[in-house]
Amino acid sequence: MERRIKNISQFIICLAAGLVLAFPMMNDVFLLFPPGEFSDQENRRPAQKPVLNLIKLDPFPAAYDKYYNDFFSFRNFLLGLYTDLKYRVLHQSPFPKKVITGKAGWLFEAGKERNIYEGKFKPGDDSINLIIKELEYRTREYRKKNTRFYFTIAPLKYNIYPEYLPFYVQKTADSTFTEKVIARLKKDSVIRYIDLFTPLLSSKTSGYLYFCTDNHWNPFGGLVASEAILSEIRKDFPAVRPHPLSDYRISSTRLKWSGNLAQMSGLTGKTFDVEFTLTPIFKTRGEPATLGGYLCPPGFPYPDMYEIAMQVQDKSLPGIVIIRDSYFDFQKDYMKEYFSRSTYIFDGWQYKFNPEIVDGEKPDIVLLQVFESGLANICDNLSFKKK
Amino acid sequence: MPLPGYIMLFSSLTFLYLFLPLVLLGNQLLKDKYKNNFLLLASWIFFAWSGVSYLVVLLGATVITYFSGILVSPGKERKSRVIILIISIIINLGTLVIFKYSNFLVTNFNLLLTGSSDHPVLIRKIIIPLGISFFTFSNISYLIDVHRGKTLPQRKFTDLALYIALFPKLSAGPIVRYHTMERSLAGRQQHIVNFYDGIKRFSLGLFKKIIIANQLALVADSVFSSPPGHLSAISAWLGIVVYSLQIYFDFSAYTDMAIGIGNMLGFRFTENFNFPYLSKNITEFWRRWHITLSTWFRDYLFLKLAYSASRRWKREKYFGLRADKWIYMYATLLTMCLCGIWHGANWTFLAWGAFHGLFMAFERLGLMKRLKRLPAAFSHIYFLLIITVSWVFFRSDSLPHAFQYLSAMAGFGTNGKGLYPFLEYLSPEFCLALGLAIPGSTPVFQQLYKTIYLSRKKLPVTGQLILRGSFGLFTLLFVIGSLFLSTLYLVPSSYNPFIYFKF
Repeated sequence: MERRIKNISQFIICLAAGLVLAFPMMNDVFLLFPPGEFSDQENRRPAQKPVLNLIKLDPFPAAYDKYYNDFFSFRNFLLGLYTDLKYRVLHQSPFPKKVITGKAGWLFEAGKERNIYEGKFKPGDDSINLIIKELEYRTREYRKKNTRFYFTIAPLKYNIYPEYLPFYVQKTADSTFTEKVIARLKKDSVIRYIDLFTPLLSSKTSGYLYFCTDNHWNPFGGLVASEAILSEIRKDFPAVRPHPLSDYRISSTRLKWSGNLAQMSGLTGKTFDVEFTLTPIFKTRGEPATLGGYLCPPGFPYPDMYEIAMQVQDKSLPGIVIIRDSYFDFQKDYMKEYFSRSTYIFDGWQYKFNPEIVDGEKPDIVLLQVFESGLANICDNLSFKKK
Repeated sequence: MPLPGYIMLFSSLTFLYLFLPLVLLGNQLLKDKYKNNFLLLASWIFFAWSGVSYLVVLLGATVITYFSGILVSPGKERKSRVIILIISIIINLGTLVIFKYSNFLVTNFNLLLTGSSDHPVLIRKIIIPLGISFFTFSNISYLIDVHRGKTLPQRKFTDLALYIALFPKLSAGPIVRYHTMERSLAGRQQHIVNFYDGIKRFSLGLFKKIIIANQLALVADSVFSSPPGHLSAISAWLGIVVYSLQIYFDFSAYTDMAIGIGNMLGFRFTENFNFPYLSKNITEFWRRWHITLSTWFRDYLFLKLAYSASRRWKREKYFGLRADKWIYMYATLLTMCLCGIWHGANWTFLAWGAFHGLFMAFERLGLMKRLKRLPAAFSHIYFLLIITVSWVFFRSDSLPHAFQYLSAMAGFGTNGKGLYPFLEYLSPEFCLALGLAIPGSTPVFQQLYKTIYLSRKKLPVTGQLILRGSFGLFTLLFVIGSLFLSTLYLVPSSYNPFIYFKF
C-alpha cells in the first residue's frame, strides 16, 4: 500500500511539474487564456519577433529571448503578483534599481537622481567651469540681441522632501554637484540665477509641492516656482505682475493615481497620490498663439511638445522664450498670463543655446529652466566652444 | 574577460518554458534509436544560443577528439599513440588558451613590455565559447582514458559528440567522465523514478539559485562594488561571508539543475558537492567542493606530476625534509595554481589557487596532525577562516582590490559608517535567504527528512500511510512552489521601464 501511494505521488508530481513547464507553451499554441497586451507603462516598444536569417544567425538568440520575455504567457499577471508581493507584502520597491520606496508611500527615482543627491554624481570640476562659462556666454550673446537671460534649476524631489527618504539614502559628500554649481552661480556677477530651492522649501508647510509617486513637482509646486521666477523677472520688467496665491482657489484630494515612478515600479493603479487643482479666480488672458515652426531635434520622443506658443493681447508685456523640460508642464498655466508672447521649447533635455529660435522670436527674455538631474547636459552643448 | 555573448541559463524563461519542455517531450516521445541524435541537436542549439559561429569550435574539438580517440586506443603502435595523444591534448588545450587566455596573456605581455598601458600587441576582444573549460577537460579525460585502456574509444561519432556537448553539463559541469556516461549513451531506461528524482533535484537547484543565491548576491555585489578603502571591517566581513554562501549556493544550484535534467533525460551524472563548508581543512574541502574538477586534476595532473617527480628526485631527503613531502608540495602547488587559473583568466584566480595549494602543503607538512589533536571546533574555525579569506581573491576584480579588501577586513578601511550602506539590501528576502543558506550548507535538512522518514516504522500502518502521503504532498508543493516562485522572480527581469518613452 505504501509503495502504491509512493508511486501515485511520484506520478502526480511528475505530471504536475510537466504541466507547469509546458503550460505557457500550450497556452501560446492553443490560446487557452487570451494573451495580455504588452503594458504601456514600460514606456517602450516591445521586442519584435526576430526573423530567422540563416546567413546571419548570431544575433537571433538574444533577439528571440527578448521577444519571448516580452510576450511570455501570463507575463502581466505574474508581474502584477510580483509587484504586489514586493510592495504590499514586503513593503519594498519591486524594481529597486529604478525606484526606491520612501516613507509614507513616497517614491524616488533610484538612478541618477539618487546619485546626485548622495553626492556620488561627480562629473568633475571642469564641468562646473564649463557650465558657468556657457551661461556667461549665453548671457552676453543674448544681451547683444537686447534679450535678458535668466537661469534656474528645478530641484530634485530628494532635496525638497528628504524627510520621506528611507534611512539608507544619505548624503555621502560634503557638497553635491548641484550645490557646487549653485555656489558658483551665486558668486557670478554676469549670470542672473533664480533660486527655486529656498521658496520651495519655505512653502512646504502650505501643502505638498511634489507628487508622492512621480518625480515631478505638482501644480502647486509649479505655482510656487513660477511665483519665484516671475518675482525675479519683475525686477527688470515691472509690467509683469504675478497674481498672489490668494488669487487661486486651491483644492487637494487624495486619490488613486500613479505617477511616472509608480509606473516604473509596475504599480500603476495600485498607489495613491494627492491631486492639486488650482483654479484662478481672476479672468485668464493667455491663449494659444501661432507656432514659429522650429525644427524638433531628431529622436525626441515627444515631438508635439517641442514647441508651444501662447500669447496675451497686451503689448506692454514682454515676450519670452523658455527653454524647458517636463517640469515646466506644471507651470505653463501660470506663466502664460504674464507675457505678450511665450514660446516654450522642450529640446530633449539638451538645454541648447538655440540662437535660431531667439532670432526668430526676438524675445525680451530667455529663461533656461533645467531640472537638477539634467544640469550636466549643458556641457554636452557648449556654444562658446563652437564660437 | 568577456564571457559568451548570450547564455541560455537554466534559470531563464526561454530555457524553463520553451527549450526544456520541448526537449523532455521529444526525449519521451521519440524512439530510443533517435534519442541520442535528438539530444545532440538540442545540445548544439543550446550551445549555439551563446554564439552560433562558435559551433565551429565545439565541432572542431569534437572531430579531433573523435579521431584521436580511435587512434590512441591500445592495440596500435605505442609511440604513435603517444604522439597523437600529445598532439590532440595540445590542440584541445591550445583552443582553450586561445579563447580563454589570449586577452589576458596579451594584456600582461604588453604591460611587461612597456610597463604602461601602451599596446604594442593588439588583438580583438575574444569571446569565450560556452563551456569551453568543461568540454576541453571532458575531451582530455576521454583521450587519456582511452589511451590508458580504461575505456574503449567511441566509434559512433554522434554518441561521442553527445558526451561532449550534452547540454545539462555543458555550461558549468559537472565534468562527467566518459565511462560513467558510456552505458547511458548506449541505451537509457526511461523510468518515472528517474524523472521524479530529476524534477525534484532540478526544482531544488532552481530554488537555491533564485531564492537563495540571487538574494545573497545583492548584498555581496553591493559590498564588492564599493571601494574597499571605504569599507568598515564589519561590512567587509559581511560581504565576504555572504559571498561564501552565495558562491556555494549558486554553483551547487547549477549542479543540482544539471543533475536533475540529466536524470529526467535518463543520465546519471557524478555528484559535485558534498557539504564543503563542513570540512575541517583545505585538503578535505577539495574532496567536497567541485568534486569532478578536483578528481580530474588529481587523476590527470597531480598524480602524473608526483609520479614523474618521484622518478627524478632519488634522494631520501632534501634540506632535511623527506623527498615525498617535497614532491607533494611541488605537485600540489603546481596543480592548485593551474586549477586556480582554470577558473578564469585573471591573476586573482591564480592567487586563489596558490593560496589553497599553500595551505594544502602546510597541512601535509604537519598542520593537519596538529589540527586533529585539537577539538573539532578549532579545525572548523581554522578552515572557515582560510576559505573565507581565499574567496576574497576569487571575487575581487584584481589583486590590488583583493589586498585592499583584506586590509578592510583587518580594520584598515576608512569608513566609520559601519554596515549602514548595506542595510538597504537587508530585506526580508535576504534574511530568508540567509536563514536558509546557513543550515542549508550543512546536512540539517537531509537529517531531518531522514529522521522523520525512518521514524515511520514506529507508526501504525495508517500513520505510515499518512506520513507517506504528507511527504508526497510536501514534495509536490515544493516542486510546484519552486517553479512558480522562480518564475515570479524571473519575469520581472524582462520588465524594463523607462521614465520617458524609448523607441
